[in-house]
Amino acid sequence: RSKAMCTLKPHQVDFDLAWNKLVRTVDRVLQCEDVAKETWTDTFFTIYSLCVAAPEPHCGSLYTHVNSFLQQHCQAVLQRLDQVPDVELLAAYHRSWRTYYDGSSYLHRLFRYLNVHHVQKKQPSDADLCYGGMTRSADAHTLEVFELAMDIWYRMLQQLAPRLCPLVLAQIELSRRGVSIDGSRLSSVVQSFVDVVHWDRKRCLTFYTEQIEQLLLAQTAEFYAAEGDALFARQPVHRYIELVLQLLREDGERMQALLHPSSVDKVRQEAEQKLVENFLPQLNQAAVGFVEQEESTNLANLFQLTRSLPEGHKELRRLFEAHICSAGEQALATVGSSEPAAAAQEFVDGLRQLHEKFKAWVRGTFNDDAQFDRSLDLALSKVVNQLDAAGKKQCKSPELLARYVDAMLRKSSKAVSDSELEEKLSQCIGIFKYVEDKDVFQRHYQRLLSKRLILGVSHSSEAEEGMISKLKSACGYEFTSKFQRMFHDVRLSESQSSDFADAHGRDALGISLHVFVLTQGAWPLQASNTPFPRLPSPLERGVTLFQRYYTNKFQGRRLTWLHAHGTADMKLKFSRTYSATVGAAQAILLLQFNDLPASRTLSLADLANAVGVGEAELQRCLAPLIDCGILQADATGQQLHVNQEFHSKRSRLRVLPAPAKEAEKEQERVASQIQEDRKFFLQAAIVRIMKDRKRLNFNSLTQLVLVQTTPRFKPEVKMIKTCIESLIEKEYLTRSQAKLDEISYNG
Amino acid sequence: FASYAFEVDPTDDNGASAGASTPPLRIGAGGVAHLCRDLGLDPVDIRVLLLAWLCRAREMCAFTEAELRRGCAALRQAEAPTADGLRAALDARLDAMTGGRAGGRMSGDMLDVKDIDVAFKDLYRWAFDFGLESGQRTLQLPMATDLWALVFEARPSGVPPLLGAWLTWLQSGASGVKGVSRDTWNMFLTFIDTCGSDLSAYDHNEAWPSLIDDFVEAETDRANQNLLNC
Repeated sequence: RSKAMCTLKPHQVDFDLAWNKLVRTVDRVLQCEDVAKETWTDTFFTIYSLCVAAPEPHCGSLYTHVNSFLQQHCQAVLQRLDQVPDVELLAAYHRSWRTYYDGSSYLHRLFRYLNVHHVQKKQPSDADLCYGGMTRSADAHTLEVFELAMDIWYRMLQQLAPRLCPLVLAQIELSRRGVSIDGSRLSSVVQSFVDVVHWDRKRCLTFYTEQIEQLLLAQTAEFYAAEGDALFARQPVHRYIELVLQLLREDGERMQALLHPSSVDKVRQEAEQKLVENFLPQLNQAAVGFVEQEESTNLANLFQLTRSLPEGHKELRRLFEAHICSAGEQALATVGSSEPAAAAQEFVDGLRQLHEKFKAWVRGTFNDDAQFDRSLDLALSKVVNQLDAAGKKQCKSPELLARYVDAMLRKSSKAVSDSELEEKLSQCIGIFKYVEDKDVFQRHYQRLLSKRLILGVSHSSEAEEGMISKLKSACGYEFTSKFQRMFHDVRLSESQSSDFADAHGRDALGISLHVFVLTQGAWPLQASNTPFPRLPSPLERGVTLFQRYYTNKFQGRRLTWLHAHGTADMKLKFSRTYSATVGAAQAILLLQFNDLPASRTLSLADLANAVGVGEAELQRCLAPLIDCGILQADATGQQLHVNQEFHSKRSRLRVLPAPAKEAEKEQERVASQIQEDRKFFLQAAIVRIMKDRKRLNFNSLTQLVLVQTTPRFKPEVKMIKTCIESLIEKEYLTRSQAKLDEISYNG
Repeated sequence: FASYAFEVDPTDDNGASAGASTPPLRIGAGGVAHLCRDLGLDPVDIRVLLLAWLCRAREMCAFTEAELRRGCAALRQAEAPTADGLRAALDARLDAMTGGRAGGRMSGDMLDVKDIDVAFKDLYRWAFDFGLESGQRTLQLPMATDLWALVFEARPSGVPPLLGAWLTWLQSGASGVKGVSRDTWNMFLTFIDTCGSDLSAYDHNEAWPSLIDDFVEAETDRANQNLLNC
């Protein structure tokens, strides 16, 4: 121990003597031969003492000697390998390399002191290396021993590479042809091209790329071009796709095992270009058939195959869209011809099936690809918006959808659970989002909602509110404000009516009066031009009292009575008592018979006189009463009397008059009203935009208008143009004198 | 004013005949007809329109004293021009506008090309107001077509080839319009200048008034139809 302490002190050392003693151990270490522990320690100390020798340390000479020793060693290896025939070269190189690599790392440890005290002190800083353009080299003694060893092997390998690399590539090609090779040996050989320059961060992959990767890419292209041609000629397309997928997968695994990870994608791209991109037109051709026959496996394969190509899916998406469109057209072809209620059902069911089916495609076949999802949406919205009602110009979808929702929200004999209803309504919103003419839907929905509310046939107010809030979240507050107003009105009326009844004493009127007070403008109702018949006295009195009550309560509000929309619940006393819900006019008709002796008949003319309505209207009211048997007509049809034998199983009856046959006219009115609304909306949008921008180019204005209107409907450019022109005429806007397409706002 | 009107145009007592009773006096319809007769011009001659334009007349078939004086000044006529003098000046003016196409004579005071273009544009725009019935915003279609037919006679680069088709199309009622807005009127000149004789320079995406869009569409359809028939 004391001796060891003593030797730690710097003292004079004879360099040559010491080196000669060293070099034998160094040689053994480099060749990975066994070295006794004492020898190792001894050598380590010798190196130490050389490095700290007095008066001058021998670091410099030691480094130079190690350098030339390694060079001689590598030179010898090269000479030996030069003698080895090609067949054995890979194996021989691999052996030498492994030994050298391991030996070098041992040597590195042996010369630790030199590394730390000589090399590391000379090394430039990281910053200088990165940005200062400085490099490390053997000459400057700035490579540590392991790095030095690698650098020297690198110089040797440069000379060997022209022989070695073709052998490497030949092995890879053999493997591609299905011959099994020694993968781990090959991989280690390939890795040596990276390892030898690994110490130099700046060019660590350059040698590998130049010597191996570039050659391999060229070889890959050539190999798979030939392979692709051969395969394509021999196999049907769908089989070709399968095989290529397999080829690519296998080759990917192979490359993963053999190459540096950075090359794997490059090789794959090269292979894909030859195997897929070159055949893309043919593949897309085949895709037409796959899509038509709905061969999902083939489609999934093709999707996977073309996935990584830029725009590789474009054609497939187009075909997918077209297929959905034609499937949609087929599915909905019959919708136009059935009667409205069934048509609505068919329409929604058809669309739901379409969506389910193709959504499954997107999920399964197309791997939930976002672009395919968008294609599905695009195609479905095309299907929805191009559905025309038997050649009529207006698209029928909004109305059908509104009708379907109406059917859902009505009380029905079929028991529907709340969750089921909720789900169906959500589906409707899904379809609603595809509808372009949202304003048309709005009108129809409003009309149907008003019927449901006034006749009190809603499934439940929760369901109604739920639907309104769904529409609100889809389209915004403004879209549903009228619906909400309507809903609100009905609720308010409820409390008002009971309030009114309380104020006047429940029995004072002899009847119970329920008045809907509806906000004008929010409801699709209009006071009819033909005056309504005089109300029978109990009703008349109620109406007058309510009018007084209401105008007292709300100063300055005006009530317009729409009796035609009213209904009456009447008690009919036959052999037993029935309660019947009838229209207001019908109630008046029935009251005419009230005080007559049982056998008396009334003529149509009498009735028309008493009620004061036209003949057509009279018939409309009478028909259901006669049909259900409450009234009976004589043979001529001119004389009516009460059917004393009336009998029905149910004690509650609904005998409302059939809706007026103005459907056709009504449709036209709705259509023209929508056009008017759109014009106003467009003009308002234009003025809003121009007020903000002051000056705008025509096309940008059109674009901005489109952005604002698309949530409601999709206007034609021509319509926007007309609106701009009418605004110019009204002098809200001016066309710029100098520039034809510039428009400015006259603020 | 009656006597003054006499002096303005001694060959014509139009001032008196027009509205002698109520000041301010002006030359009425009869007076204008008389004036035209004296000038040897049809009332629907382009030169009469030119005179009205130079007078900045506000209404058809009527001149106020101030208007007529302004017109005479513009034509560099004396305070009391003669019918012959006025006629000669109008001829010269038309020649200046059209480069002598109409009369075959070159006028002494040729205007700069740019100036006549500006002048014609002014004439064109003024014509809309001239034809407009008071209180209206749009020009009635028959009036518009008549004015279009007339005003282009004074166009420096000649009557545009498209004009005939335009007028025929408008008169056929296919356009479905009853009146022409100022914007459309003004833009039509730009349209004629830009798209020239054929419609190849026309771009549907530009901001042309929709009436012009419709016309071009109809014309293209007709052209295609002709091609098919051949």
